[in-house]
Amino acid sequence: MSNMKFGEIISIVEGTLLFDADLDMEIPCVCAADLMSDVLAFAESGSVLLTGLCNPQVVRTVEMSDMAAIVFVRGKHPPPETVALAKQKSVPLATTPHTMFEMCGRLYQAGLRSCDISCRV
Amino acid sequence: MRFFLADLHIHTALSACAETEMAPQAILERAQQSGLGLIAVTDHNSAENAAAMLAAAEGTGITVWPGMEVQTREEVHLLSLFDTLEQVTLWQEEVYAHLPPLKNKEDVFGVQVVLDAEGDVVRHNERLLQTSTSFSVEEVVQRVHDLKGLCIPAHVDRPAYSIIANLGFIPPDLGIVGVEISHLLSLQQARTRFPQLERYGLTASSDAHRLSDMVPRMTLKMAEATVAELALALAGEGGRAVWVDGVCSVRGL
Repeated sequence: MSNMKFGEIISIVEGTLLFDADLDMEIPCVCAADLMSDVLAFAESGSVLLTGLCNPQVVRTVEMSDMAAIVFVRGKHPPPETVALAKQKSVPLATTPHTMFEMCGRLYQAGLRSCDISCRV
Repeated sequence: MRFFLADLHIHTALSACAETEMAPQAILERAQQSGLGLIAVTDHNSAENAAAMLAAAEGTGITVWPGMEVQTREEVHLLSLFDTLEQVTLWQEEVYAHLPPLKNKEDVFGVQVVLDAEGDVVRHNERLLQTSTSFSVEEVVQRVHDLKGLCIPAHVDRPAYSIIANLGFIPPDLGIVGVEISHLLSLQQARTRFPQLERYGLTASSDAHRLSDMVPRMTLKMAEATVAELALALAGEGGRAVWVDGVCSVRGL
C-alpha cells in the first residue's frame, strides 16, 4: 500500500470537485467517518476524509487534524457556509454519488490504506 | 406557585462558538431587559463560568442555574441543569475525566475564556471542549440524575447534534421528562412534525451564543426555582406547567 494522488482518488470515486484543488497532493490514507469526534481521535495528517456529514464542523475537524481534503458521499452537497469555510481554510472539497461502503471498497482495492488507529486517543 | 420567564440554554465566552460579549454582567443585563427571572448557564462540556454567573447575579433578582451542555459519544447534545455550584462542579469533574486529552486550537475552534464576575479574563481553558465525551446518552442521563440534576436533550429538532437526528429516535426508557426544541420551530410545528414527542414536555430556550439571541419564549409555573420543580412542571403535576410561545407544552397534551 502506498500514497495515491488526490486526482486519482477523485477519479476512482467518480467525484466532482466543488472548487479548484491541487490534484497532485499525495494522500497516504483515508478516514471514513460521520462522527467528527472519531475523526479527531485517529485521522492521520495528510489523509482524506470520506464522510456524509456536511456541516462546517467537518472543515474545522479536518483543519484540527491537519487532513488534506474532504469527499462527501452519497451525492451530498454541503451548504454554502461549509463551502465558504473550506475555501477560506484551503480545504479541497469533492462529492461522489456513491455510498460510503462502496467508496471505501473501491479505494481499499486500489491500494489506499486506512488511517492507523493504534497510536491515537 | 410562581411564574418564571425562563431561558435555560445560554452560552458564555467559555464556549468556543460563543461571542466574547457573552460575559456575566452583559448576559444578566440582557436578561433583566427581557424580563427573565430564571436563566441557566450551559457551556459546552464545562461549567467554569458558572461561579462568575452566580456571583454576578446576586442582587439582580434573577435565579441562575449552573449547568452544562454535554456532548455524548453519539455527538448528541444534552442540557444538564443543577441547583448548586457544588453539584455542577462534581459533574464537571466527571465530564473532564471523559473528554479526550486534546488541547483546543484557538484559531480553529475559537477561544474558550474563563471569566470572573466582572467579566475580566481569568484564563483560557486549554482543553478541547468542542468534542464528544466518551459518555453515552444513557450514561449522561443516569449520572446527571444521580447528582440530583435534570437532563434535557437539546434542540431535538435540529439536523445536527440532536438525539433524534443522531439516534433516529429517543430511547423509550431513557428516563427523561422533557426535551428542548430550537428557535427554528413553533410549539405547534414541533408537535406536528415530531408526534413522538407527545410523551415529553417541551422547553424552548435561546441557545444564545450572542446577546441578541436571548429572546425569551418560555414561562414556567412552579412552587420555586429548582430543577426538581421543573421536572414536575414538564409533567404538568400539581398545577405546575410550562408554556412555549404562550401555549402549554407539558407532556401528554
